[in-house]
Amino acid sequence: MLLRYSLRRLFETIPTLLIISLVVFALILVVPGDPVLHMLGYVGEDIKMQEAVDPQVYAQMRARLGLDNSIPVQFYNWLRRTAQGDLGISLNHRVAVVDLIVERLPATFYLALAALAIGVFIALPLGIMAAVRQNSWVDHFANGLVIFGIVTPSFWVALMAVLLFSVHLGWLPSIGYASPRENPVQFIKHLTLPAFILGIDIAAGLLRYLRADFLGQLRQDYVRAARSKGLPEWVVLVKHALKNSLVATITVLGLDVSRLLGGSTIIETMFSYPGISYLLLQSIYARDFPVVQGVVLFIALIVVTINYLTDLVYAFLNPRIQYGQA
Amino acid sequence: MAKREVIELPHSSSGKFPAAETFEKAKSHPLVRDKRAIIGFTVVIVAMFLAIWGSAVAPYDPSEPNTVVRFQSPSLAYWMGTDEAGRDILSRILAGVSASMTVATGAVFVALLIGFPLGAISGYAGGFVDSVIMRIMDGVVAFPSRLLAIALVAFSGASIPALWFAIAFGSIPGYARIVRGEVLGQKELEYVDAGRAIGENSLALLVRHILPNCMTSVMVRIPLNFAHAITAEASLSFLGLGLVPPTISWGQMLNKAQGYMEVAPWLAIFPGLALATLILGFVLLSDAMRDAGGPRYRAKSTRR
Amino acid sequence: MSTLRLTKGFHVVSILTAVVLVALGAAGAIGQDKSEKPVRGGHLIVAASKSMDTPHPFIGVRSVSEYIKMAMFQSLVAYDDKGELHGVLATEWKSKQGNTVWEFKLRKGVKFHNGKELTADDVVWSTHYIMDSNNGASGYGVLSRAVKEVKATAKDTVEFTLKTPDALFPEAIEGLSVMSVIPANSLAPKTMNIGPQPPPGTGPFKFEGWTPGQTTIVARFDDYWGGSPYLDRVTFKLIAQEAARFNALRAGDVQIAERLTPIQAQQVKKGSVSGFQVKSAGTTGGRALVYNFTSPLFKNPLMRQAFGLSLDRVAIMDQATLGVGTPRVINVPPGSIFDKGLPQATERDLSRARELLKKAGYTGTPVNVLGRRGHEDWLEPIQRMATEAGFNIKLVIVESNVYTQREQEGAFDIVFENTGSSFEPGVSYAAELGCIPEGGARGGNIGLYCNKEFDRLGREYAKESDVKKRAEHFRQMAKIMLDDAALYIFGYSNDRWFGWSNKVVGFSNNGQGYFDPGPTGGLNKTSLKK
Repeated sequence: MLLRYSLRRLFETIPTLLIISLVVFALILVVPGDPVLHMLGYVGEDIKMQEAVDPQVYAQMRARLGLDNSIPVQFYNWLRRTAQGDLGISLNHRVAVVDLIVERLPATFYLALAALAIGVFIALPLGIMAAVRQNSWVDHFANGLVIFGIVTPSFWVALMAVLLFSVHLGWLPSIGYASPRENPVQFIKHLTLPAFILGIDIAAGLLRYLRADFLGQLRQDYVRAARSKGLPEWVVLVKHALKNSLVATITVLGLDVSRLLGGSTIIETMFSYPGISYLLLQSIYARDFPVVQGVVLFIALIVVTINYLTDLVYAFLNPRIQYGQA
Repeated sequence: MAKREVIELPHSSSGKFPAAETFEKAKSHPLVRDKRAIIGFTVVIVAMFLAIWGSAVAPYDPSEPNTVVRFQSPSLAYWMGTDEAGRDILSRILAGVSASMTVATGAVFVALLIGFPLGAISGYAGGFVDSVIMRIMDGVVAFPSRLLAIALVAFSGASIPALWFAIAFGSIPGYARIVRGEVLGQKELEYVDAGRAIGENSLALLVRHILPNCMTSVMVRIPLNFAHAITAEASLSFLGLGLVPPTISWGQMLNKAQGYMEVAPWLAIFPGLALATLILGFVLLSDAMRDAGGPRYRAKSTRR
Repeated sequence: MSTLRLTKGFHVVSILTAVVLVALGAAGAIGQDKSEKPVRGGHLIVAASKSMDTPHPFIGVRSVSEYIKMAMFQSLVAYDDKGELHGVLATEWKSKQGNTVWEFKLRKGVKFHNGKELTADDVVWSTHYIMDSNNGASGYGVLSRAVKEVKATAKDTVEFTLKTPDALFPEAIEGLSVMSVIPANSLAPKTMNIGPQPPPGTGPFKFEGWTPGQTTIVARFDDYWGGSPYLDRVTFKLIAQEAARFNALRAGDVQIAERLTPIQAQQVKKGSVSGFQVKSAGTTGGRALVYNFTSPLFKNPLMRQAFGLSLDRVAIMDQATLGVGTPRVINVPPGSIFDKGLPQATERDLSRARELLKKAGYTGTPVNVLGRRGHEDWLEPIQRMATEAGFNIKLVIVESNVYTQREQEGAFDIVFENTGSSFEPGVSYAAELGCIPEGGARGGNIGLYCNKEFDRLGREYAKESDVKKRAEHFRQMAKIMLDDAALYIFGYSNDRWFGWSNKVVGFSNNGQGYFDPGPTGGLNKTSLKK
């Protein structure tokens, strides 16, 4: 039953990915701005076009970049190549899109992982303590953290944090990334600020959810039963309630991962952190369409996979789910 | 958003009751006793007032530069100081409410306008239609929506309608899924069967019976969506992609403030606080409404 | 120690100093403070506002990409920080047959990074490569329009035969954006995918590594013709945000930061931030409004004049640049020979502007003012002032790519643009405002302005070897531009500053915002204190 469900869900992700690819291609149709001019250096943030591009050069470049085909042909070619694992060549940098993504992947992966870990490490114990000792100082602190996380935009927190920790105290670097294999100490230092800023956001979201959920669990019959057996409150909570909250926690975290992959743009930009959402932003500005397509597809693929896994875990942990429904 | 509507929410599924009774029930209703709701409502109502009359109540012209008073720290004359062009920060913050509220309201409206019917159709029709719509929604969720917003705004120029759609895009699936879930649940209920038995057609059933009962869960989501939309607008403006002068936006002010953090920290502090206050208002409201909605909604919300 | 660089006589002083130092060094008696002596070694990190898109020597050589490539590739000649042409790979150049033939004598003992010696054949080959439309080189337009033939007349002499006489051909091929020299046959035809292996150049540093959209790393080239540089390595790191560049410099994550803002520079000058010094990148950031001569509204000269009269140049400049900008009616290198006898500025005159508007029969049709992101501080006061005069302004502020497209389509009434800060203003204004044949692309002449007399003067200017006579031509050109109200110039915003840590010795940018100010000292003369 579970296997059939998982296969069906897997099958259902294919149209989702196709739809996304199509949307990205459609986007290119309506986007103003010319990738060829950008590549040749006629267009740029502070560049004034000094002379019209020679029509001959222009036509030859377009042909060379495969941009003179009709959009459906381009889409077909792209799909065919993508199916073989070839995402094409960046217009701007003239290197394989796959290489660009692979280059940026570790940075994003570590950032997401660190942010999630920080989020869970803050939210889980705090959530439990807040639920057990309702209206205690822990509870108030948890509440404050939730409000802080939700109410303050992360770019503002980042601004303040850089000013304090990098500029005034000089403890942490204000920009960049270091590879963990080459320089583990620098790696941790570079990761700390962005990961904590994103992590606090995640913690706030999770905490807000967990606290309410634990409180709900504590009112359940089985918890009362356990309590009546004389078990201490926190044992009840960890042994019973926590297990039951796991399902929901995983769902929330699954959504967080999607948010982290596509939504850490501002943080990656502010810290010049070379992750994939920063790459995507740069490519959007440069009209580097193969990279935009490649990265969006890649992010989508990961998000779809995570959603799929989340659903499976959910189905596995919660046998009451009806497999008939997606 | 009318206050009465919200108060009625939790009862809407149990049918209508006479006006006098409404009042009695309203007084004892958890929302009225909840401090969070009161604070939230106050913030939102003040924000709505300022969205319309913000520039009018501002002590100075929010756009007129006065280079004599550049970078003045907060004083009696300028409560929140002045910026690089000598403009009064307080006045600019008051005038900036309009941008936040206009963009957020539009974005929430657009998301509802698209998400609600999609969810309703999906849930009611079921089968193939349901599958197609939900796959599309999965696609939207998997799409890096904040980046899409950036792209859309970058390409089209940051007009207010462009921002509405760019920001709304990512919240469409949320509404669609909630409505779909509610419709699926309601479809099985007795009164729907009864309606069917007396020969009401599907559309009438959907519009007259099922949809009104979905409103509770949808309404609970709206304030949170507002908070998200306000953050999204501020983020876009902060990246230098949001609304452009002469429109004043808090994100835009913060973007400029970055460069003057040490010379004039008040440029970053006050718009940041204003932003936090407005978001806080909506979040408190959302929390209060969710709790007032009772365990029924909470239980449902665990399931996406 | 770099305050000297600002003075006019720096050129002389630096040469003298060099001579004296060499003499002292030969005598084994350098009596200088030890800490001032350049130390060999070290890894310098430069925060750049943009990244190098590709290491290709001929493609994408504008703006910061060009400055980064200057560490690796070189041209025949280049401007120094005073706007004088100096030899790089060429040591002398002269024209024959009334400026139709230009001969360049190559520097002796120049080696490419692969050890090969530079010969005239390399220059000829590079020129031909650039002039082949198949290769997509940036310099294609300039070279193919000007050059009829290029040949090596000796092992160290190259001769360019031009299509029409041009007294300013060396100036036209200055810098990397038109041409640089790589070894003959080092690039196959139509090569675009350079990957991490660009051809060798002749610069003080050789290519070492490149991460697209992030960093470019170059390493010391010991056989550099100008003497081995001190630094082992230079990394150009993209930090797109101004605030982040400044913070990185303050936190010591980078040693040089490019394009800081005036307010950041002020903080350093006031002493509220220490540990590094700042210098203006020079007269950079010319700004102007260009009127669209195909716009039904603004082909009427009364409308253009009214618009100009509605603006207060000084106040707008003041607001947009926080007072560091230099308001000017015509952008020419300040203090140069061209900066004399230019037309005077007209004051803001609202009643006169309203009068002209009435005369023009303006009824409040929306005026589309196009601008790009980042220029909001200019557009906002422009809108406010023009509105006071009775214009109905609609600001259209878009991202660069969209902006350029709208410009080229002529989809605007007025556009706010960057404008000339060239050392040969006659050439740049002639290119910016020269008539475009019917149906031709707008290119640099966005507003499609056309005045035959202006064009004639522009051609005369280019034929004139005598700079005094060129200046005379330019004065006449300037008068026509202003009488026609072809554009409205604000002046130089001077909004770009360089900052470098006190650990950095011997660094100087040139007046155009480059990292490399030519022979007087750039990254090749820079060292890091231990």
